[in-house]
Amino acid sequence: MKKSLNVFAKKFSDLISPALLATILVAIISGVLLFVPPINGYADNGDFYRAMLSNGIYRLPSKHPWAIDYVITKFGIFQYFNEYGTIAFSSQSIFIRIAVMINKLFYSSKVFDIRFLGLLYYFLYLGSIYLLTKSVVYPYKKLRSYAVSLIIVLIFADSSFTLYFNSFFAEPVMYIFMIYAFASIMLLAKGCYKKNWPMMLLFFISTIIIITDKSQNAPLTLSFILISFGMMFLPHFNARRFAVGVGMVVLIFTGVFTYVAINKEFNDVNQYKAFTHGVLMETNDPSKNIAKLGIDEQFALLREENYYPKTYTAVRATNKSVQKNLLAKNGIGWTVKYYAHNPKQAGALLDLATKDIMITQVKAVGDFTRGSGHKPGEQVKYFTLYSDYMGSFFPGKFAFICLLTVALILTYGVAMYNDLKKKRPMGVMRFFLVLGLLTIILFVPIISIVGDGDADLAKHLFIIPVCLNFIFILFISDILHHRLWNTEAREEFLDHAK
Amino acid sequence: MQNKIFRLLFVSFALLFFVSFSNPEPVQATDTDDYVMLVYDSKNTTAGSEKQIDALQRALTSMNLRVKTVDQADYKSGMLTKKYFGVISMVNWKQMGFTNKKFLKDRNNFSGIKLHIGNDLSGYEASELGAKSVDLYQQQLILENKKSNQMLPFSETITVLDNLSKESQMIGTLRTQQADQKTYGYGVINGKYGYLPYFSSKGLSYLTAVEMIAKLFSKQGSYQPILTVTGVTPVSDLKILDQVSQFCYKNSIPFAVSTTSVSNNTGMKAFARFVSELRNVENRGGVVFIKSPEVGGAGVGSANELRQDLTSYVVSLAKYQVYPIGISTDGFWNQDKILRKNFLMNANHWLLLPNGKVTYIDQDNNSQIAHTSFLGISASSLNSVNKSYETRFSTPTAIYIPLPHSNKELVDFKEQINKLDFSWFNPMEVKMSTAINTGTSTVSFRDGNYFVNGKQENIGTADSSSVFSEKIKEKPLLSNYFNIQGSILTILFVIVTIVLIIFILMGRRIYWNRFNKRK
Repeated sequence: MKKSLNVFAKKFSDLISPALLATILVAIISGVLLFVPPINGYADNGDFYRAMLSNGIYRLPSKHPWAIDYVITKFGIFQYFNEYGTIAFSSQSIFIRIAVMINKLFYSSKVFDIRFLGLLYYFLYLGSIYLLTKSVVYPYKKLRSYAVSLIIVLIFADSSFTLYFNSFFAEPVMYIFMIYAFASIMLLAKGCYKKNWPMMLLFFISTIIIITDKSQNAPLTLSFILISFGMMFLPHFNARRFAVGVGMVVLIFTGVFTYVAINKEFNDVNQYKAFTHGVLMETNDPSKNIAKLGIDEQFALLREENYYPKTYTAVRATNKSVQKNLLAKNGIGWTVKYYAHNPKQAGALLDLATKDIMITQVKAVGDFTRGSGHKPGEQVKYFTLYSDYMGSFFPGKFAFICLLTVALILTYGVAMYNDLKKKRPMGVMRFFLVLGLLTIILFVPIISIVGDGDADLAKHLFIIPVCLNFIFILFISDILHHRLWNTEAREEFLDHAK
Repeated sequence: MQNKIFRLLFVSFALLFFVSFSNPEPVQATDTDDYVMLVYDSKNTTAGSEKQIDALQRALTSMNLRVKTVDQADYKSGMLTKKYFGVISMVNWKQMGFTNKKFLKDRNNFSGIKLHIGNDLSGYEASELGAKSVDLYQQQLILENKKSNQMLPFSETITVLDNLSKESQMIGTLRTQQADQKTYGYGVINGKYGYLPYFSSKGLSYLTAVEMIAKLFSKQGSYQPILTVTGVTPVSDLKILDQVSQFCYKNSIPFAVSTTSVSNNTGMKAFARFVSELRNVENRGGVVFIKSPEVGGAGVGSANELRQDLTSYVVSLAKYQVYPIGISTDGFWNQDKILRKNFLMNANHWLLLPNGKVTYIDQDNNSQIAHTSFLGISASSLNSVNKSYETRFSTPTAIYIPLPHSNKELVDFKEQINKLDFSWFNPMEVKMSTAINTGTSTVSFRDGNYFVNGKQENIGTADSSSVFSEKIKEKPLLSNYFNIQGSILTILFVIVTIVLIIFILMGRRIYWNRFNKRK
């Protein structure tokens, strides 16, 4: 009996590796969500126009003026010259354009179906899941490896993430390519493939796509450079260390480019929000505090005002007083100084930022199409176990994140110390990977608060749960495979190291 | 006989009593004598000519005329009914003119007052005006009116009237610069018919056109202008506002301030400082107009919010003894159903300023009237106009100057006011009765006194600096305890971390050995 079970297990593992198992399960789970009618996705929160108009897509006329309640599947494709040009540069455009091209080939040259974009993301995503699973379980095919692959399915196929695919949000690009970036580093660290350069290339391309996806991703450059620094420790690699250096330089340029490409209006919007929704929040009366640091106390009255006012406002952000006496003064330097002087307020804001960090489902918009029999703005409950659980139980305190960071750095630091001594790359690369991810987790809330205030926090913090999930799965897999501190000598690596 | 004299005396006393003590209620004009239809050929937004429609609409409102504005493309046969007191046809784009034949037919058959503005004057209209139309080509004309003159921009063609009948009146003249220096009328009125060869929203042309239109519609009066400082917001530089009000006070210039306010954050010190500055304005002979807020992405559903905002503005200001006497607004607010009904109509005194950023919510182009609407004219556009102490305007007029943004601009501001040698309208001295109703309360102004819900209020003297000497709340009792608790926890965490590191370093070898054994 036991023998036949073993034989079955052997055959099964020969036929279906953990990575393949995860990919198949994810394909089925998210395929049902995205493509089996009535389909699901995220409705327009008012941000879609940027991605749409830049790529020659427009909303078809409809008797329902509000797009926030239901997912719209059909859009129009501009037939003539697109006068809008590029509203904001984004790597997301590449994917939308490819989707439009496929749409034109197979469906229609006038109507764009969002599912073509979803499909494109879907295939890219399946590839990333395969690599991710492989990267954390390699070289094992034990039962525990299959357990890890099931956990990956639970975490990474959560509907709160995959719903993004059927939408014009820029998040899917970030999500998919973060998985690629993570997987490529882990595969390199484990020496999964004979040649290193394909994974290196994958890493750099993925990170460049992530950085250029959204202007607010520019600061992530620093974290990615930190992660790529680990590659310097790959053995037998003197000649290619240069290549890593070049990659890092390219990354820096991409980050700078993305930062510079932010136009003045965008900058003003962010600066205004950082003030009205940041500096002025979580305090009784900010009048005196801002006056102390040289900004007219009257601007305290702008608390909770928006750059593009929702209904009515006493003063527009384009007003001369605001431009001259506020926006000319309250740059990032000023904001940092302000929070340094008011640490309690900064702490309260950071707690606010981390409070709902693991609630990944966009609650403001509906997930169903009109006519699917669901209420306006109704949320999908299908395969959201992980995000529901994390959303309710993850401690929403910035201090907790700091403690977690310290603990993880210590844990993975030990492995790095061991591997450095033994000249093994894995512990070192993994340390830098974790360190890089932790800097994202730690600094993105700070950057968001300083750069944007509490406006749109949930959207700015999207990358944090993704990074936390990477660390969770890495940690679980390392524990299960007993590789947390002892990365285990691997013959092929040792040979090269000599 | 004695009885008769006694009765006569009684009646005359009663009349006198009635006249002197009755409070003049807002005169709501009867049905037909205040409706006017304004039909234009095109907005011509590329040339910015929509501003001229706005300027004309505001001028008509200041004459207490209700205006229905119609684009000729939307005009349907029979729209110009007898309800209308007059019709204005405005050519806003020379190259376009009137092409809607239904309108032209209805206008020709219309029996009320008719005014044509701009080129494209038909032969029928010229005959109504009792004159011959003449086209002048390639001319730079000089407009003259009451000792003022203004050189007009070069015009390729302009249609003027010649051979006027004896009954015709000319308001302002246009003089050519050629050797013979021919003179034509700018505004021409012949009975019920009027003509203006062009319309401009600025300077002498505007003033003369307004004068002419008021005369044509028998709405002409004689008004002193009110000096108005516009562009004040709660985030304006209040020191400059203080200097402005002080300057006006020292020079005995009565003035008005048009300011927006906030509906939130009124508990902040910054708000207290803002209102104390407005109180200074009131104490220095100024009055306050509430400026309508900027319209963002508001929809039809925002009507309630707008009404509540106004209530909140008035109540929060009144709480600090600032009593607005009217509402100032951009012209387009009067052309929008939601904006007008939920904001403007709550006050009986309006101050109409040119449009800034225009965002309609429910545009209906049916402007309404208040008891008094001041027509806003920028001070800078009056440079070429002869200004004197005797100058009077045909309609209630507000001459406005934006609040300076720097000390340099303040110097210019003062200079500009000194040059405006008008005898200014003083709300404190003239019998003036205004009211803003906000549902919960009524703030009114009568003969220089302020009333809230009928109860007279005094304005305390306010020094803006005193606001800040208010005591700050004492610290809560347990705050020290929590501070100490926080530090203890921090120290504890540091100690735990250090111990943890030591343990890790010590335990590392033991852990290692376990693996070695297994190997």
